Amino acid sequence: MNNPVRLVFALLGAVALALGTGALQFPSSALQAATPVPYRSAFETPPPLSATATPSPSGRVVRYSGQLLDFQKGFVFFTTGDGFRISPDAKIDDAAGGPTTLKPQTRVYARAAFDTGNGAIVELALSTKPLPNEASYQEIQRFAVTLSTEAPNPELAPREGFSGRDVLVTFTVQVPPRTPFTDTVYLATDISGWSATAIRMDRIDALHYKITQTFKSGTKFLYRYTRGSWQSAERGQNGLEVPPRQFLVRNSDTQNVDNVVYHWGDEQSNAPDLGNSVPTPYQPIPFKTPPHR
Amino acid sequence: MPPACVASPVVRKDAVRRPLGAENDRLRPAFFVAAALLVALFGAAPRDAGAAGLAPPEAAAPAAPAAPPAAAPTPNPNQPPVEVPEQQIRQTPPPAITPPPFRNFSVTAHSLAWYSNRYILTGDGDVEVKFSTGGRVTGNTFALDIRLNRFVIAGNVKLYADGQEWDGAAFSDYIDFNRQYFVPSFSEPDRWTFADADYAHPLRGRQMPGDTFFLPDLSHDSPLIFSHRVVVQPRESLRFSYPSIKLGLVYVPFPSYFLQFGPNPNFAQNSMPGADVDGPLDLFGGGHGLVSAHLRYDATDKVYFAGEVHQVSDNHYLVASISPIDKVFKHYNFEGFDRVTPGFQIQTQLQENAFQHDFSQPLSATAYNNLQMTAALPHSYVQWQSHSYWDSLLDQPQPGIDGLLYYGDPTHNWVPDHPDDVTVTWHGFQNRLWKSPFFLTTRVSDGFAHDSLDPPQIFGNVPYVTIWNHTIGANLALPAYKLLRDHSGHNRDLFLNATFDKQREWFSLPHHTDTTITNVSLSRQFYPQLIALVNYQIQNTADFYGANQNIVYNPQTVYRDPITNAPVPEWSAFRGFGTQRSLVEQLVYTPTTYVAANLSFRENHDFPIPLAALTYEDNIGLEPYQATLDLRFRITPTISLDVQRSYFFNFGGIDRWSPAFFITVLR
Repeated sequence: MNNPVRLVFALLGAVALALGTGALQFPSSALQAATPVPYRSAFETPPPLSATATPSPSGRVVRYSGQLLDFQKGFVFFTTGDGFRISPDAKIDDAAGGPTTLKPQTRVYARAAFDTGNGAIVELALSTKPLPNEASYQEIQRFAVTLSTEAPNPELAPREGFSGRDVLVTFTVQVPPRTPFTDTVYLATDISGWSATAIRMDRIDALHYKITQTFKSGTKFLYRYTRGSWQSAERGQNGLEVPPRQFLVRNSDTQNVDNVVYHWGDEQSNAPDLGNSVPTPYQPIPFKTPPHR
Repeated sequence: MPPACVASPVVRKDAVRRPLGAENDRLRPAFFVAAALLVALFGAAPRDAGAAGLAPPEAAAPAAPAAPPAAAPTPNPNQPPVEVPEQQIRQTPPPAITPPPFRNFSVTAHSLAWYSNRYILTGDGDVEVKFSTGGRVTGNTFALDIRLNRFVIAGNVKLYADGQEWDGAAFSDYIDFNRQYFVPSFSEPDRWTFADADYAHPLRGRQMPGDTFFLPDLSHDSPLIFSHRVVVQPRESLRFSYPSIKLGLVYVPFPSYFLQFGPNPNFAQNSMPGADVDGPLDLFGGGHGLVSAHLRYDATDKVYFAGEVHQVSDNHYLVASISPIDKVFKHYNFEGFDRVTPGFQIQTQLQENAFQHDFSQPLSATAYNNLQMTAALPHSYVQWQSHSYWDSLLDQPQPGIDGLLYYGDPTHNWVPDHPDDVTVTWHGFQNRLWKSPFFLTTRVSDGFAHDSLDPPQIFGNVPYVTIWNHTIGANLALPAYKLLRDHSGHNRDLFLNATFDKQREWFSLPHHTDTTITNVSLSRQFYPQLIALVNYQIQNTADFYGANQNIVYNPQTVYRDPITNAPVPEWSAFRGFGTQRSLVEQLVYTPTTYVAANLSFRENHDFPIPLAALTYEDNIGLEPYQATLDLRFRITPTISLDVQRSYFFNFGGIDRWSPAFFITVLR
């Protein structure tokens, strides 16, 4: 039995070595790098537009869709925080222009038809689902009504923005040289409730583990490396527990994080962990592992 | 001279210690349905949540006026580790991870819903938010994102603050930055910003962040919890009053539910023994405490209840638990940690195992303690590590049948042994050898093992109850050496990793052992999704008794195969010098971030040869051949499924072809 098995192993080894030296290559087309899926709008098929709204003689109709914050005192408030005056004779209907049982209230989606002549809403189509947009926010922002003059906010000074896009983040960690070869390394994060086995990493060589995960840009989190329990969490080079590492996902296609772990919390203080590699009657280090454990 | 006595450990039912915090448990297929059910019941809670999919795209937009902190520079893994200035390492400040205190607030509403997978709390109908510092806001709808740490109230909003009352359309609080945004509605709408909750001085017309009043779309999500009142401690916890929690398909009322989501990892410390399935329910808590009930399952105790209490700060934790509560054989567990000074810490584990009906006088009680103390030194550190065992904590009983000492019946025998061992180790830092790619670490230790074997080891007619040991060891590592450079720019370099570890340990019983481990690996990334690895390891262990070698390792002894009872000449030829050679070939394929496949082959050629037992767990030595396929699927943003199957190629007893089929739920 052993010989055929050894032959299989030898063949696999030869293939691996051929791959390692570059003598054999996989077709690259089958292994294109994974790319983040772009954010897609929540709606797939836009509902038809009602064409019943009639603008004032001086204007035209611009339609803007969004979610309502409130409807009170003759104003419609969108989640942009803007309040828009609604015409007293404005039509409130559904997205197809028909009658609706919905009321213009918080959380309801609406498509407002603005009369560019006076800036008032002349038609409000309501829906429980997001409606397609025809106009940009910039086109209708000027119709927002505010008592105060807009004042600049220095706290909104230009800085790195986070679009919430998907970012591929690759974590690579170098583990202590005495880490048992068969051990598994995990990434524990505060956003996974500090579960010690939250994200399992893949060994990529004798001393490195790697994992690629998708995060939204702007996500900020803390993390630590473990070997499956908090007793085996990483320690600093000085043997002491280290503060959690911090990471901020930036706006980019990919990000790489490279870390070094110097010690594990459960590291045996002297002898390497031999496991059951030596037959027990001949255990050469008989006092290393107390027999009562 | 009489031969050395190599005693076998005496293992009793009551003395078996179950490992603490064994979180990497595996589920057998038969239990998977139960596991999936429990995960469905409890697993969606945020403390169990996974890493991906944190915020809706619109909500992840710039959320705060302050600039984000710059990410710390990190070393390249394919380069030697960065040498951190020693002074910086020695005086590492205690982990300062608790955020500055925020004012807490309560939320009441006709219906409050907690969406655990989105980290969002919503409220509808007669919403009222009351701040602990005074002031309140009412409205129709409420949404709190605990990750972004901000909330919005919309619809017929009334703001009561600073002795005044304002009507408005929406109110939003960016808690991290202490900025409140308000859309008041007078004869015409306006936009107000309050800085630091200074409601007497609104900043009128000030520009606001673009998504200040966005409401999350939760139409595709199902809430885990319904309630009418929640107390929110920002960046820390949610405390639900009389919630209904989704258990499977139904919502079950509970008196309280406490959700801890703070950044302090000490809340995750687990003092309980391992279980196949663990469903936690955090009942009560605060900024420094947590009380949890657990519904657990394992093959020994089946379904049972456990309880755990945490008391934590940035620099310490105390965790105590009882598991199981409702079974006869109970484990009382305690874990403690204290960062006494920036350069000194203490950590301890204590477990008492008691055989007792309810909480009556136990028929047996054993205990185990591990104490670890670590002190930073110049360019090194020193660590005390001790293990102590009490084989009975009870008083000596009156002799019973045949003069045996026991409680209840002879199965609960009374044993007065108290084995313990202590090791004090000095560890040096990792030092680069001149400008080479090699790194050297050294270690020295002293210690003793007392009363470890029963009966004690006898050598030269001398019983060795306490055996001292002295150890010196060194490790030489080549973390990553670029053997073949890829000039195509696709990072397909061929890397060489190597480590060499040598250790000698002297014992007061006159012998010494040498351990040498040499490990060499070649690795290459062909594509970001495909990595290959070949690893070869030689491990030599040698036990030197000098002129007494043949007395200790007697060539006349005949050892037999535990299954076939046939003599094993390789074992009789063993003179204390063992060698293990291991070749591992591995392919890691990760086509997407949701799927990973790991195929590995291991071939071992060892001396003495391994011996197969009835079940693979009892095999002595490593199986000569092993192939393992590991498939991992991220089935939800919060849960991964790990499926593993190994083959032993006709080695062993019952499991001679394939051991158990492992399915593990990671969360």
